[in-house]
Amino acid sequence: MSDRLCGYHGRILVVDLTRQAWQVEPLPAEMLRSVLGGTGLATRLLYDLTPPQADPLGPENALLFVGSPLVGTPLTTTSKFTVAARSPLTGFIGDSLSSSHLALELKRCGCDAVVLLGAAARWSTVAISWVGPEEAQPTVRFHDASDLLGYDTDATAAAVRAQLGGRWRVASIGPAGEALVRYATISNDGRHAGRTGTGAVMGSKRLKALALCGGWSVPVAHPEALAATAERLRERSLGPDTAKYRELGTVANLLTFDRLGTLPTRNFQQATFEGAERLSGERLHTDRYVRRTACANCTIGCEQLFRVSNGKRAAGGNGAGQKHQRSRRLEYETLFALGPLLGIDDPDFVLHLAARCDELGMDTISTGGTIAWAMEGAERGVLDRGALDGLDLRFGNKKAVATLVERIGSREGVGHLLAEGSRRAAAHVGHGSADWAMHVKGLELPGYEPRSLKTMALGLAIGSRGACHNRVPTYEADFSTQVDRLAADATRGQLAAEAEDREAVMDSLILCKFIRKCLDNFDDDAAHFWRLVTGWDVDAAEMRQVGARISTLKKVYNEREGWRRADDTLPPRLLAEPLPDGPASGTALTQVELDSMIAGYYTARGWSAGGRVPAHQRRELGV
Amino acid sequence: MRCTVELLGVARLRAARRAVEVRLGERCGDHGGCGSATVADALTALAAACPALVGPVLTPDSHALCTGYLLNRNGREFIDRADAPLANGDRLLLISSAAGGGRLVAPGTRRKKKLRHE
Repeated sequence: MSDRLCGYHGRILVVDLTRQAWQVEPLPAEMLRSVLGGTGLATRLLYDLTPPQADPLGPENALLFVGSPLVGTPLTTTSKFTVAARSPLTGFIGDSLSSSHLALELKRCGCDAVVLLGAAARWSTVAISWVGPEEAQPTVRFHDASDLLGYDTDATAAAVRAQLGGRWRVASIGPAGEALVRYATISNDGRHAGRTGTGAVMGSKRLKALALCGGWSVPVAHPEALAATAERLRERSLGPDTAKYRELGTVANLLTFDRLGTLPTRNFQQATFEGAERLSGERLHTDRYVRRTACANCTIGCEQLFRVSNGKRAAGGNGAGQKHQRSRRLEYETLFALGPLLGIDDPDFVLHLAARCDELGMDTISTGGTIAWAMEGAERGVLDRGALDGLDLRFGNKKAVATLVERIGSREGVGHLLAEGSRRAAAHVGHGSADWAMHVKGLELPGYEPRSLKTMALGLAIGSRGACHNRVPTYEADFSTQVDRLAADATRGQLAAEAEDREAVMDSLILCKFIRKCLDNFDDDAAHFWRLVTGWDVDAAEMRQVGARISTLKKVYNEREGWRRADDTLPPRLLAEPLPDGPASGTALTQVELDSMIAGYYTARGWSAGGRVPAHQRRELGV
Repeated sequence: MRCTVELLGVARLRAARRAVEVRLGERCGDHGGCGSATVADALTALAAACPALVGPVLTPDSHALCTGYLLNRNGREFIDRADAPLANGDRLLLISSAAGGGRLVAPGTRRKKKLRHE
């Protein structure tokens, strides 16, 4: 069958870490057409290959690396893959995307997905190679990785490549993944599959690194037409639709959000930050810009590198007193979570801390969100210094934050509590601290203030993986004249469903979100790309159906794992306290408003009033 | 009347200025009625004050916003009409668009080639 497919291999590689065994299994074309690839395929496989209520940190949880039909084609921004597992942070679907050469290598390994089951008896690196059709089977080797324990993410990857060869591409975890920090990441080429704690799942399998090296190519159905389309998309990717990303990167959001009163500050106690100018992307660019880089096969190049000065002499330097300067990358979400959210306005410190989180392998949003919860607890007197290892954890205390990050990464002292994330930490501490634990379904909120972005509030509340700005990006409506972002109504439900379905397609094809404004019509163009690659006669209507199917499948998975209507909500603070500052000062988001929007969303989905997927939709999914 | 245009994102980099205060006169229509100054007036005044914005941010002919930029009034309301009236003291935010939605896209900035051409 795989010989007839274009854009896919039509098979997966299932590796059993417990038995050190593996097998190649076919993927029916019908399944691929129904869920596309990427996140859609990952959701389907996760549903099929993990038992209900599997312990997220137990051997029965599957860890999946999933490719897509577009990766490896000339279409820009498509070198992405999905990592998925049952999330140890939320208990629901944990899917995270990343962009790097690992995506290309995964495709070259002759499979549409690598599924890791079981748990190794000792710390291991799994090395998978499959040079092409001349080999009947891939080669899978299990290397002892005990000597890599304690290595940071980059050092781990470097050591594995030194052992196997530079041709190999590596996904690795750092100390946080080893310590099962529930928001640990999986690093690849310096990029991170960041949210929902898939790094902890990898750690629970005692898998320090996954190395890939392949030689397969995948045919496309219409290579000439695809090349022409790719060239036009490339031209657009260099035009005004992506100017912000190319010239400033996502850090441009910080000052804009401050001016709009949508910048979460001091654990969402404020919506503007007095240090916003100092920390702004504009200021970073003026004072510290070094260069920009791009993910594999990306012509936009949104990744901005900024100069950091750590005040220390360079290791091995001549002692002449020059400061050791390096460049660090920074994105808005990291900037917000390690800056305003913690009351910190020192760009040097944020750059250092971001780099340290990357080295340890920790999601910066959840790291910042959990520390912000602890800071508010300290200021309220709920967490005293005894409970905080003697740290003075007031907002803005950089030294204490730096210490906490290290302790979280190693689960040392109070870091053991905070490594659990804000929801579990609040449940452990009690004293009403859940009221200021800023999460949805256990996933800490990104840098969008829901009270002044009410369509976004809905998207955050109903998101299948928790509070996420990427899976249901309803902020697009709020940052437009389409809706009044300070008001709420039931029509937002339809907007949320459409945004979620569009993102499901984007995350499954996979296309970078930053290319979206370069498209004429998303559904038409997405179908066009998929058609050129696969040769299937797909159209815009089918794309919409596939998007809705993937969104519903995620929900069905979550229902199986214990979803209740009460999980679709927002933290109590957001429903009880009006915004205290900024241009939207006094604006509140009520429970009635949120419930009305959620009801509108369920109606748009055709789900029950209680948010359940009806039987006929389940049958259509085959579950 | 006076309005302030705060430059954010790419516009700030291009202009090398944080904000521009523009003075706007009352506008008289073809039929003799006079009304408030508009967004279009503010953008024309901005183009005069910051020539570096003309081309990358403001169109050379009508000084409308190029694609990729948004206007917000007083941190609350996004504006997508060039004839929207302004009030004395209004603060306009000129934003690099992070998302889709309302834009004062100038004529002529529409794409001439479609991605699809089978």
